[in-house]
Amino acid sequence: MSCERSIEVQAYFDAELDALKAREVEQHLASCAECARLLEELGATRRALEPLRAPRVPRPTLDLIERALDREAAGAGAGAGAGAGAGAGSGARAGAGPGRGLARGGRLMEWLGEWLRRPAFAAAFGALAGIALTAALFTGGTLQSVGGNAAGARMTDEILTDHLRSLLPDQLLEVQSTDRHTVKPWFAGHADASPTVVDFAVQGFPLAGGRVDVVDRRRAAVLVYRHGAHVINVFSWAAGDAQLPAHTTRDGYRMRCWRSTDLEYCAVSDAGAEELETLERLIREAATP
Amino acid sequence: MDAQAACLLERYPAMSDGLDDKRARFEAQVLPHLDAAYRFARWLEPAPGAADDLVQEAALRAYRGFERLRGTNVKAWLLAIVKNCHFTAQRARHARDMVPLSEDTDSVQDPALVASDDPLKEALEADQTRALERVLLLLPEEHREVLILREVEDLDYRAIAEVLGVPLGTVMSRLARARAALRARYLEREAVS
Repeated sequence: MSCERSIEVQAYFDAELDALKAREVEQHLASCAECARLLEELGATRRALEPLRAPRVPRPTLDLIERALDREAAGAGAGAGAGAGAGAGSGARAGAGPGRGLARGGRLMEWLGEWLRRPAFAAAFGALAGIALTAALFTGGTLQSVGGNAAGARMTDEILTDHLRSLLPDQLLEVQSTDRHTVKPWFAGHADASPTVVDFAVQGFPLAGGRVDVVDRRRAAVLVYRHGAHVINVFSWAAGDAQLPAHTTRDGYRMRCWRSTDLEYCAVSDAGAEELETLERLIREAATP
Repeated sequence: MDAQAACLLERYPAMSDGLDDKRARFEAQVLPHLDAAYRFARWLEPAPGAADDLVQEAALRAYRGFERLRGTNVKAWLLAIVKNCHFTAQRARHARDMVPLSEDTDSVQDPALVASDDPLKEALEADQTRALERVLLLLPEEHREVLILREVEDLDYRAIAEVLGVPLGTVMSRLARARAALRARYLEREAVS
């Protein structure tokens, strides 16, 4: 019943063929009704399975995992301490303290959870974050460019961690609104900076809302934009003397930083470089009256 | 600047393997794939709560083996650990002769024998996802897992081969059979309604 090329049609459907071979299969599809039907059915199967992309790790399970990792890290620290004396063990403990926490992803999550979490404004955006996560291309931690200075490198790390964390369920938004008159005053009360808030829906970058994240020990205002299935976090804080992180691509995420007169911005997303460039231009233009 | 912050400044550019650094890198690279691990685990261990246990076990093992991860596909690496943990647990259950029905990998079960409801009526139900999940559970595990990895987690053939520990050719033929089985049991039933 089955055409001997059905496996090739499947590979074509799964985008596993090179251009030459794909062309061959396309020609075959034009003349083989059976394979053309198979291609349609493959599409139907994929669409039917779409709802299965929705489930996420339940929050309590996530917490259990965090705690298991804490225990593991503490255990490893004690092990090292046994060789090197008490110093190494207490060092590992200090890592769990709140001071250190500001610079660290996992602790940061808890810290923010305690102080800044607002009621579940973000529930509706869980699904959106899911799309962004699945769309994210992970290449395994290849670092294509690094900020030229230590502070910049650390900020890069913090901002990328914040971005990843924001994609977890219910972490994206603290104030959900496309209305700049809602978001702007909210920042005034919660962050150390109050950036210009503009909705760029017409230009393809609708404003989803805002959030506060700690970057370099300051409460950065984070504007959350959407672009298609991508989430773009735009971090901003008052301009200082520190050198800004360089443009970076890591694990499929891009980071682009710039400075305006009084604020510094870093945009992070799995969207393309041109998209981030466009958003930077839009924000720059909006800030200059 | 306090001593701890100074230590951090030294440490991050160098990407050294300090404890905190390992944890931070693990959280940045591996935690984003926990949802995928959980979705995969649900189809390996369908019993209530079992997927949660499996994911926890896998996350801990991933953390312990994190140093051995070098530039490969992180998602595939984590899902392979989920698969291995499942395999270990399954073998332990086999040894105790406590294999749940749905773990039966080779026998092809007739949905009419297992599903209590009228399939037609079920297909008409508003909760299509529930019906779909049910059909998936009736598929042999080797069909189920390859479908999830390809259609839900978007892994390419090479990554699927890595997760399942089988050759590429096996991935392709299994995938074809799994899709045909799903079509026969779900889509065509839907077409009847």
